[in-house]
Amino acid sequence: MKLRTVATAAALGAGAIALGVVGAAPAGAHSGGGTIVVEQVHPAGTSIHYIVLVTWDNDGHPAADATVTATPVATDGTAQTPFTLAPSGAGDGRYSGAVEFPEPGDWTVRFTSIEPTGTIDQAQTVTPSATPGASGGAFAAADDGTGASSGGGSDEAGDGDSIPVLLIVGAAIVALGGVVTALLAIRRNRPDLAVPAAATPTDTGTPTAADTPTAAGTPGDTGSPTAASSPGDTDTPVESATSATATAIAGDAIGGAPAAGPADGAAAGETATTAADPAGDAPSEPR
Amino acid sequence: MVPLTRSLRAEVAVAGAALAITASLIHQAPARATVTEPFDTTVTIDAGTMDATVDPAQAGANDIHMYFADPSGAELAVDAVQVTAATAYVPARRLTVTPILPNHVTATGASLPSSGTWTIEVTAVRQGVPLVFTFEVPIR
Repeated sequence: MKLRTVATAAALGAGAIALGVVGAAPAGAHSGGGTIVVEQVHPAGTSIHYIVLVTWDNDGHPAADATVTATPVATDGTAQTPFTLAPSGAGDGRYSGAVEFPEPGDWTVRFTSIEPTGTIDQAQTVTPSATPGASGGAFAAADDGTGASSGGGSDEAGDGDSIPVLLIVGAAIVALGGVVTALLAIRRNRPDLAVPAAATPTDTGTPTAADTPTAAGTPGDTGSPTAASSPGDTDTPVESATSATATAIAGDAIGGAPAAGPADGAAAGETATTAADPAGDAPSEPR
Repeated sequence: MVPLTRSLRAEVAVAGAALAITASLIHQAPARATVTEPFDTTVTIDAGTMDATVDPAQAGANDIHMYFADPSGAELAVDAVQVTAATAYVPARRLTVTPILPNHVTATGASLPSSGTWTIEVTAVRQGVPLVFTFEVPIR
Protein backbone atom coordinates (compact mmCIF):
# COMPACT_ATOMS: atom_id res chain seq x y z
CA MET A 1 0.00 0.00 0.00
CA LYS A 2 2.79 2.25 0.90
CA LEU A 3 4.63 1.29 -2.26
CA ARG A 4 1.57 2.16 -4.34
CA THR A 5 1.34 5.58 -2.72
CA VAL A 6 4.97 6.31 -3.47
CA ALA A 7 4.56 5.20 -7.07
CA THR A 8 1.53 7.41 -7.53
CA ALA A 9 3.33 10.39 -6.04
CA ALA A 10 6.31 9.78 -8.31
CA ALA A 11 4.08 9.57 -11.37
CA LEU A 12 2.33 12.77 -10.46
CA GLY A 13 5.66 14.49 -9.85
CA ALA A 14 7.01 13.32 -13.22
CA GLY A 15 3.86 14.53 -14.91
CA ALA A 16 4.15 17.93 -13.27
CA ILE A 17 7.78 18.24 -14.34
CA ALA A 18 6.89 17.25 -17.89
CA LEU A 19 4.09 19.80 -18.02
CA GLY A 20 6.46 22.43 -16.71
CA VAL A 21 9.03 21.64 -19.37
CA VAL A 22 6.41 21.68 -22.11
CA GLY A 23 4.99 24.95 -20.91
CA ALA A 24 8.33 26.65 -20.68
CA ALA A 25 9.73 28.56 -23.58
CA PRO A 26 12.49 26.88 -25.59
CA ALA A 27 15.98 27.82 -24.57
CA GLY A 28 16.61 29.68 -27.81
CA ALA A 29 13.28 31.49 -28.04
CA HIS A 30 13.08 35.24 -27.58
CA SER A 31 10.01 37.17 -26.69
CA GLY A 32 8.89 40.28 -24.94
CA GLY A 33 10.61 43.60 -24.94
CA GLY A 34 14.13 44.70 -25.41
CA THR A 35 16.67 47.08 -23.99
CA ILE A 36 18.60 49.64 -25.99
CA VAL A 37 21.93 50.95 -24.76
CA VAL A 38 23.71 53.79 -26.55
CA GLU A 39 27.33 52.69 -26.58
CA GLN A 40 29.09 55.31 -28.69
CA VAL A 41 28.33 58.80 -29.91
CA HIS A 42 30.51 60.47 -32.53
CA PRO A 43 29.49 64.07 -33.11
CA ALA A 44 30.56 65.75 -36.31
CA GLY A 45 28.66 68.96 -36.67
CA THR A 46 25.01 68.40 -37.31
CA SER A 47 25.67 64.79 -38.23
CA ILE A 48 26.11 62.48 -35.29
CA HIS A 49 27.00 58.83 -35.58
CA TYR A 50 25.59 56.43 -33.00
CA ILE A 51 26.32 52.85 -32.09
CA VAL A 52 23.68 51.14 -29.96
CA LEU A 53 23.33 47.68 -28.47
CA VAL A 54 19.94 45.96 -28.42
CA THR A 55 19.30 42.97 -26.18
CA TRP A 56 16.31 40.84 -25.28
CA ASP A 57 14.88 41.46 -21.87
CA ASN A 58 14.00 37.84 -21.18
CA ASP A 59 17.48 36.42 -21.47
CA GLY A 60 19.82 39.31 -22.20
CA HIS A 61 20.85 37.89 -25.54
CA PRO A 62 21.77 40.36 -28.27
CA ALA A 63 18.96 41.08 -30.72
CA ALA A 64 20.57 40.35 -34.04
CA ASP A 65 17.51 40.76 -36.24
CA ALA A 66 15.84 43.87 -34.90
CA THR A 67 14.59 46.93 -36.72
CA VAL A 68 16.31 49.89 -35.08
CA THR A 69 15.78 53.57 -35.78
CA ALA A 70 16.86 56.89 -34.33
CA THR A 71 14.43 59.80 -34.44
CA PRO A 72 15.48 63.39 -33.73
CA VAL A 73 12.85 65.10 -31.63
CA ALA A 74 12.87 68.88 -31.21
CA THR A 75 12.36 70.58 -27.90
CA ASP A 76 8.75 71.29 -28.83
CA GLY A 77 8.15 67.60 -29.34
CA THR A 78 8.15 67.65 -33.13
CA ALA A 79 9.59 64.42 -34.45
CA GLN A 80 11.74 64.39 -37.57
CA THR A 81 11.92 61.57 -40.07
CA PRO A 82 13.54 58.54 -38.40
CA PHE A 83 16.93 57.26 -39.49
CA THR A 84 17.40 53.53 -39.80
CA LEU A 85 20.42 52.11 -38.00
CA ALA A 86 22.13 49.25 -39.79
CA PRO A 87 23.22 46.06 -38.04
CA SER A 88 26.91 45.56 -37.57
CA GLY A 89 26.76 42.30 -39.46
CA ALA A 90 28.43 40.38 -36.67
CA GLY A 91 25.13 39.37 -35.08
CA ASP A 92 26.18 40.98 -31.82
CA GLY A 93 23.10 43.15 -31.46
CA ARG A 94 24.92 46.33 -32.38
CA TYR A 95 23.45 48.81 -34.80
CA SER A 96 24.94 52.02 -36.09
CA GLY A 97 24.19 54.95 -38.31
CA ALA A 98 24.47 58.69 -38.72
CA VAL A 99 21.65 60.98 -37.73
CA GLU A 100 21.37 64.31 -39.48
CA PHE A 101 19.95 67.10 -37.35
CA PRO A 102 18.27 69.97 -39.18
CA GLU A 103 20.04 72.58 -37.09
CA PRO A 104 22.25 72.94 -34.02
CA GLY A 105 20.61 73.11 -30.64
CA ASP A 106 19.16 70.88 -28.00
CA TRP A 107 17.52 67.75 -29.29
CA THR A 108 16.25 64.45 -28.01
CA VAL A 109 17.13 61.32 -29.94
CA ARG A 110 14.57 58.58 -29.56
CA PHE A 111 16.01 55.16 -30.30
CA THR A 112 13.37 52.57 -31.12
CA SER A 113 13.60 48.88 -31.85
CA ILE A 114 11.12 46.29 -33.07
CA GLU A 115 11.70 42.61 -32.32
CA PRO A 116 12.33 43.26 -29.55
CA THR A 117 10.21 46.31 -28.95
CA GLY A 118 12.04 48.91 -26.98
CA THR A 119 12.68 52.61 -26.85
CA ILE A 120 15.03 55.01 -25.14
CA ASP A 121 15.33 58.77 -25.25
CA GLN A 122 18.70 60.47 -25.07
CA ALA A 123 19.35 64.18 -24.86
CA GLN A 124 21.70 65.49 -27.49
CA THR A 125 23.24 68.91 -27.86
CA VAL A 126 24.10 69.55 -31.46
CA THR A 127 26.82 72.10 -32.11
CA PRO A 128 27.86 73.53 -35.42
CA SER A 129 31.01 72.08 -36.88
CA ALA A 130 34.26 73.82 -35.89
CA THR A 131 35.80 73.52 -39.33
CA PRO A 132 34.36 75.94 -41.88
CA GLY A 133 34.50 73.34 -44.61
CA ALA A 134 32.23 71.05 -42.70
CA SER A 135 29.80 73.72 -41.63
CA GLY A 136 27.20 72.53 -44.05
CA GLY A 137 27.37 69.03 -42.76
CA ALA A 138 28.44 67.74 -46.12
CA PHE A 139 31.69 66.26 -44.85
CA ALA A 140 30.60 65.50 -41.36
CA ALA A 141 30.25 61.83 -42.02
CA ALA A 142 33.76 61.71 -43.48
CA ASP A 143 35.10 63.34 -40.33
CA ASP A 144 33.09 60.86 -38.40
CA GLY A 145 34.94 58.05 -40.02
CA THR A 146 31.85 56.08 -40.89
CA GLY A 147 32.39 56.69 -44.57
CA ALA A 148 28.71 56.28 -45.24
CA SER A 149 28.11 59.74 -46.58
CA SER A 150 31.65 60.47 -47.63
CA GLY A 151 31.61 57.53 -50.00
CA GLY A 152 28.51 58.83 -51.69
CA GLY A 153 29.98 62.28 -51.88
CA SER A 154 33.15 61.10 -53.51
CA ASP A 155 31.19 59.01 -55.94
CA GLU A 156 29.15 62.01 -56.91
CA ALA A 157 32.27 64.06 -57.33
CA GLY A 158 33.76 61.31 -59.43
CA ASP A 159 30.73 61.25 -61.64
CA GLY A 160 30.92 64.99 -61.95
CA ASP A 161 34.52 64.75 -63.15
CA SER A 162 33.92 61.98 -65.61
CA ILE A 163 31.01 63.63 -67.40
CA PRO A 164 32.96 66.68 -68.61
CA VAL A 165 35.73 64.43 -69.93
CA LEU A 166 33.23 62.46 -71.91
CA LEU A 167 31.66 65.65 -73.19
CA ILE A 168 35.04 66.98 -74.29
CA VAL A 169 35.89 63.76 -76.11
CA GLY A 170 32.48 63.64 -77.72
CA ALA A 171 32.68 67.27 -78.81
CA ALA A 172 36.13 66.70 -80.25
CA ILE A 173 34.93 63.69 -82.24
CA VAL A 174 31.95 65.61 -83.56
CA ALA A 175 34.11 68.58 -84.50
CA LEU A 176 36.65 66.37 -86.22
CA GLY A 177 33.91 64.58 -88.11
CA GLY A 178 32.48 67.90 -89.18
CA VAL A 179 35.84 69.07 -90.49
CA VAL A 180 36.41 65.87 -92.45
CA THR A 181 32.89 65.94 -93.85
CA ALA A 182 33.27 69.55 -94.88
CA LEU A 183 36.54 68.85 -96.62
CA LEU A 184 35.11 65.88 -98.47
CA ALA A 185 32.05 67.88 -99.48
CA ILE A 186 34.20 70.69 -100.76
CA ARG A 187 36.37 68.38 -102.78
CA ARG A 188 33.36 66.61 -104.20
CA ASN A 189 31.55 69.77 -105.18
CA ARG A 190 34.61 71.53 -106.53
CA PRO A 191 36.02 69.24 -109.23
CA ASP A 192 38.30 72.02 -110.30
CA LEU A 193 40.21 71.59 -107.07
CA ALA A 194 41.02 68.06 -108.00
CA VAL A 195 42.49 68.92 -111.38
CA PRO A 196 46.23 69.30 -111.02
CA ALA A 197 46.50 70.81 -114.51
CA ALA A 198 44.94 73.97 -113.21
CA ALA A 199 48.18 74.77 -111.46
CA THR A 200 50.18 77.18 -113.50
CA PRO A 201 53.37 79.02 -112.77
CA THR A 202 51.51 82.22 -113.40
CA ASP A 203 49.52 81.76 -110.22
CA THR A 204 50.60 84.64 -108.10
CA GLY A 205 48.38 84.02 -105.19
CA THR A 206 45.94 86.68 -106.14
CA PRO A 207 42.46 86.45 -104.66
CA THR A 208 41.32 83.79 -107.07
CA ALA A 209 40.11 81.12 -104.82
CA ALA A 210 40.30 78.24 -107.21
CA ASP A 211 43.95 78.78 -107.92
CA THR A 212 45.16 78.91 -104.42
CA PRO A 213 44.93 75.24 -103.46
CA THR A 214 46.61 74.09 -106.62
CA ALA A 215 49.49 76.39 -105.93
CA ALA A 216 50.53 73.92 -103.29
CA GLY A 217 51.03 71.43 -106.07
CA THR A 218 49.41 68.50 -104.30
CA PRO A 219 45.86 67.93 -105.37
CA GLY A 220 45.04 65.81 -102.41
CA ASP A 221 46.33 68.34 -99.98
CA THR A 222 43.79 70.98 -100.63
CA GLY A 223 42.78 71.44 -97.07
CA SER A 224 45.84 73.07 -95.60
CA PRO A 225 46.71 75.38 -98.45
CA THR A 226 43.14 76.45 -98.71
CA ALA A 227 43.02 77.30 -95.09
CA ALA A 228 46.08 79.44 -95.54
CA SER A 229 44.94 80.94 -98.82
CA SER A 230 43.64 84.33 -99.64
CA PRO A 231 40.41 85.78 -98.32
CA GLY A 232 38.80 85.31 -101.67
CA ASP A 233 38.99 81.59 -101.47
CA THR A 234 35.57 80.21 -100.94
CA ASP A 235 37.01 77.30 -99.02
CA THR A 236 38.38 79.48 -96.35
CA PRO A 237 35.16 80.59 -94.72
CA VAL A 238 33.95 77.04 -94.51
CA GLU A 239 37.08 75.80 -92.87
CA SER A 240 37.41 78.82 -90.73
CA ALA A 241 33.90 78.43 -89.54
CA THR A 242 34.49 74.79 -88.78
CA SER A 243 37.71 75.53 -87.01
CA ALA A 244 36.06 78.29 -85.12
CA THR A 245 33.32 75.93 -84.10
CA ALA A 246 35.80 73.34 -83.01
CA THR A 247 37.75 75.92 -81.14
CA ALA A 248 34.65 77.20 -79.51
CA ILE A 249 33.66 73.72 -78.42
CA ALA A 250 37.13 72.97 -77.19
CA GLY A 251 37.23 76.30 -75.51
CA ASP A 252 33.98 75.60 -73.81
CA ALA A 253 35.21 72.25 -72.75
CA ILE A 254 38.52 73.52 -71.55
CA GLY A 255 36.95 76.52 -70.01
CA GLY A 256 34.39 74.32 -68.42
CA ALA A 257 36.94 72.07 -66.82
CA PRO A 258 38.33 74.52 -64.30
CA ALA A 259 34.90 75.83 -63.70
CA ALA A 260 33.79 72.31 -63.03
CA GLY A 261 36.28 71.99 -60.24
CA PRO A 262 34.69 74.38 -57.80
CA ALA A 263 31.32 73.51 -59.18
CA ASP A 264 31.98 69.89 -58.47
CA GLY A 265 33.05 70.74 -55.02
CA ALA A 266 29.82 72.52 -54.48
CA ALA A 267 27.97 69.72 -56.12
CA ALA A 268 29.60 67.21 -53.84
CA GLY A 269 28.59 69.27 -50.89
CA GLU A 270 25.11 69.60 -52.16
CA THR A 271 24.95 65.95 -52.93
CA ALA A 272 26.03 65.01 -49.48
CA THR A 273 23.46 67.36 -48.12
CA THR A 274 20.87 65.97 -50.44
CA ALA A 275 21.77 62.49 -49.41
CA ALA A 276 20.57 63.39 -46.00
CA ASP A 277 17.60 65.18 -47.38
CA PRO A 278 15.19 62.29 -47.49
CA ALA A 279 14.77 63.31 -43.92
CA GLY A 280 15.47 66.97 -44.27
CA ASP A 281 13.25 67.47 -47.26
CA ALA A 282 10.41 65.95 -45.51
CA PRO A 283 8.07 68.91 -45.95
CA SER A 284 8.41 68.69 -49.73
CA GLU A 285 6.92 65.25 -49.85
CA PRO A 286 3.64 65.47 -51.72
CA ARG A 287 1.79 63.56 -49.12
CA MET B 1 -15.95 37.14 -116.34
CA VAL B 2 -12.97 39.31 -115.81
CA PRO B 3 -14.70 41.58 -113.27
CA LEU B 4 -15.78 38.56 -111.28
CA THR B 5 -12.25 37.20 -111.15
CA ARG B 6 -10.92 40.55 -110.07
CA SER B 7 -13.57 40.82 -107.37
CA LEU B 8 -12.81 37.36 -106.08
CA ARG B 9 -9.13 38.12 -105.90
CA ALA B 10 -9.78 41.27 -103.93
CA GLU B 11 -12.07 39.45 -101.58
CA VAL B 12 -9.54 36.70 -100.99
CA ALA B 13 -6.88 39.31 -100.31
CA VAL B 14 -9.07 41.06 -97.76
CA ALA B 15 -9.94 37.77 -96.11
CA GLY B 16 -6.27 36.84 -95.91
CA ALA B 17 -5.40 40.17 -94.35
CA ALA B 18 -8.15 39.80 -91.77
CA LEU B 19 -6.96 36.31 -90.94
CA ALA B 20 -3.37 37.48 -90.54
CA ILE B 21 -4.35 40.33 -88.26
CA THR B 22 -6.52 38.08 -86.16
CA ALA B 23 -3.76 35.52 -85.89
CA SER B 24 -1.33 38.15 -84.67
CA LEU B 25 -3.76 39.42 -82.05
CA ILE B 26 -4.26 36.09 -80.33
CA HIS B 27 -0.86 36.47 -78.69
CA GLN B 28 -1.70 39.85 -77.21
CA ALA B 29 -2.92 39.99 -73.62
CA PRO B 30 -6.39 41.45 -73.20
CA ALA B 31 -6.32 45.16 -72.48
CA ARG B 32 -7.98 44.65 -69.11
CA ALA B 33 -5.20 42.32 -68.04
CA THR B 34 -2.44 44.70 -69.03
CA VAL B 35 -3.75 47.63 -67.02
CA THR B 36 -1.70 48.10 -63.88
CA GLU B 37 -3.83 49.59 -61.15
CA PRO B 38 -2.41 50.00 -57.68
CA PHE B 39 -4.19 48.50 -54.72
CA ASP B 40 -5.32 50.94 -52.05
CA THR B 41 -6.69 50.18 -48.64
CA THR B 42 -7.23 51.82 -45.26
CA VAL B 43 -6.80 49.96 -42.00
CA THR B 44 -8.31 51.43 -38.87
CA ILE B 45 -7.43 50.52 -35.31
CA ASP B 46 -8.12 52.28 -32.03
CA ALA B 47 -4.90 54.25 -32.09
CA GLY B 48 -5.22 55.48 -35.67
CA THR B 49 -5.44 54.58 -39.30
CA MET B 50 -3.04 53.50 -41.98
CA ASP B 51 -3.48 54.11 -45.70
CA ALA B 52 -1.56 51.60 -47.79
CA THR B 53 -0.90 51.50 -51.50
CA VAL B 54 0.56 48.50 -53.28
CA ASP B 55 1.75 49.32 -56.78
CA PRO B 56 1.29 47.66 -59.24
CA ALA B 57 -0.26 44.82 -57.22
CA GLN B 58 1.08 42.28 -59.65
CA ALA B 59 3.35 39.32 -59.11
CA GLY B 60 6.90 40.57 -58.86
CA ALA B 61 8.37 43.72 -57.40
CA ASN B 62 5.88 46.09 -55.80
CA ASP B 63 6.19 49.44 -54.09
CA ILE B 64 4.23 49.63 -50.86
CA HIS B 65 3.52 53.05 -49.38
CA MET B 66 2.12 53.39 -45.88
CA TYR B 67 0.75 56.59 -44.37
CA PHE B 68 -0.22 56.86 -40.71
CA ALA B 69 -2.83 59.14 -39.15
CA ASP B 70 -4.30 59.52 -35.72
CA PRO B 71 -8.03 58.98 -35.09
CA SER B 72 -8.72 62.65 -35.92
CA GLY B 73 -7.04 62.27 -39.30
CA ALA B 74 -3.94 64.27 -38.46
CA GLU B 75 -0.55 62.93 -39.45
CA LEU B 76 0.77 60.43 -36.95
CA ALA B 77 4.54 60.37 -36.53
CA VAL B 78 5.90 56.89 -35.94
CA ASP B 79 9.39 56.04 -34.77
CA ALA B 80 9.92 52.66 -36.41
CA VAL B 81 8.01 50.44 -38.81
CA GLN B 82 8.40 46.78 -39.59
CA VAL B 83 6.53 45.08 -42.44
CA THR B 84 6.10 41.39 -43.18
CA ALA B 85 4.43 39.70 -46.12
CA ALA B 86 3.05 36.17 -46.25
CA THR B 87 0.70 33.95 -48.20
CA ALA B 88 -0.86 30.62 -47.40
CA TYR B 89 2.19 28.95 -48.92
CA VAL B 90 4.93 31.46 -48.09
CA PRO B 91 5.77 32.09 -44.43
CA ALA B 92 5.97 35.67 -43.26
CA ARG B 93 9.17 37.39 -44.23
CA ARG B 94 10.31 40.87 -43.50
CA LEU B 95 10.36 43.61 -46.12
CA THR B 96 12.93 46.40 -46.17
CA VAL B 97 11.30 49.62 -45.04
CA THR B 98 12.56 53.13 -45.69
CA PRO B 99 11.25 56.08 -43.69
CA ILE B 100 10.22 58.94 -45.96
CA LEU B 101 8.44 61.21 -43.52
CA PRO B 102 7.55 60.87 -39.87
CA ASN B 103 4.17 59.49 -40.98
CA HIS B 104 5.19 57.88 -44.27
CA VAL B 105 7.31 54.83 -44.99
CA THR B 106 7.84 52.76 -48.10
CA ALA B 107 8.86 49.24 -48.97
CA THR B 108 10.33 49.78 -52.41
CA GLY B 109 10.65 46.83 -54.74
CA ALA B 110 9.02 44.46 -52.28
CA SER B 111 8.99 41.01 -53.81
CA LEU B 112 5.53 39.45 -53.95
CA PRO B 113 6.47 36.76 -56.41
CA SER B 114 3.23 34.83 -56.84
CA SER B 115 -0.32 35.77 -57.59
CA GLY B 116 -2.93 35.29 -54.91
CA THR B 117 -3.83 36.91 -51.64
CA TRP B 118 -0.92 38.22 -49.61
CA THR B 119 -1.20 39.20 -45.97
CA ILE B 120 0.76 42.31 -45.07
CA GLU B 121 1.38 42.99 -41.39
CA VAL B 122 2.66 46.42 -40.44
CA THR B 123 4.03 47.06 -36.97
CA ALA B 124 4.58 50.74 -36.23
CA VAL B 125 6.06 51.84 -32.93
CA ARG B 126 5.22 55.28 -31.62
CA GLN B 127 6.85 56.40 -28.40
CA GLY B 128 7.44 52.81 -27.42
CA VAL B 129 3.89 51.66 -28.13
CA PRO B 130 3.46 49.19 -30.99
CA LEU B 131 0.56 49.63 -33.39
CA VAL B 132 -0.23 46.64 -35.58
CA PHE B 133 -2.06 47.02 -38.89
CA THR B 134 -2.90 44.03 -41.05
CA PHE B 135 -4.40 43.91 -44.51
CA GLU B 136 -4.69 41.56 -47.42
CA VAL B 137 -3.78 42.47 -50.95
CA PRO B 138 -4.79 40.53 -54.03
CA ILE B 139 -1.81 40.12 -56.31
CA ARG B 140 -2.63 39.51 -59.96
